[in-house]
Amino acid sequence: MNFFSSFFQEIKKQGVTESRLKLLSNVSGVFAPGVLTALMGSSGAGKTTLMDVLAGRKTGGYIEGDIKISGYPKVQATFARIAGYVEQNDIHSPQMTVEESLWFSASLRLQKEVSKEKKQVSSSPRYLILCVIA
Amino acid sequence: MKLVEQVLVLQEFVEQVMKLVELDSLRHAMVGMAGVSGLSTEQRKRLTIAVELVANPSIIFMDEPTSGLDARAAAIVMRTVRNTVDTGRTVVCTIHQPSIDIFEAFDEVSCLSNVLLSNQFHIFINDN
Repeated sequence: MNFFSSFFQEIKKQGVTESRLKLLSNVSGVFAPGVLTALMGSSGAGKTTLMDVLAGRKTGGYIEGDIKISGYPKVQATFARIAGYVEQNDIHSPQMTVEESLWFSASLRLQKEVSKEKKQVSSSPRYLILCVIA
Repeated sequence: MKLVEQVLVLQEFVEQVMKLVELDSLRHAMVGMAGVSGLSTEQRKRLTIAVELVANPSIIFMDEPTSGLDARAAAIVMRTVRNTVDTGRTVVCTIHQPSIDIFEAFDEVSCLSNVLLSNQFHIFINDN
């Protein structure tokens, strides 16, 4: 997979001829299910960028290559329902209790008409392999 | 009647997640302001993980879950991350300067690098 971000107008005025900056170059790999994977790299290697691209949190820029989930191409609308992203800075409402915070998130993010079986923690589709192909 | 049912299902679900991240003893604790009052940094991190878990995701990304934590706090967070993985979810964490204890908690390492490393890891290569 390759990922590019576009330059700002000001940078183009400085005489940069390329229209975009390559941030990820020929990245490929597999994330296995039920396995805790560490993503390591030196500062600025693109760890967070890669994760943002995989999670679909990059709105600008161009993505080349394939992202597949258990063999199926990633569709952001459905992927957002089965993916979670724990950000680095913990943002919570100070005036809520722990239980209320969880209730708030659950009421917003779980579907309204979900059967009893589906809301069990152990029953959403498990064992999904995330594949990145250059 | 239907609403009551829904609330019960939701309650059970929230309960399961709280147990998973070991926050059930703190359920009525006020979240408070970071560094001023309420939960500690590590409890706050576990709450962030829990807030994502109640959406019942199959794949979870975590951006440096252990940075800014001391050794003990990081170990507690890693334990809850481990509990999450053991439910069969696919978990990806970025880590930076991990201590050996944290590093050993991981099953697999993907390296993002501009040099070709040996093949014993599962490697991502970013050849910029």
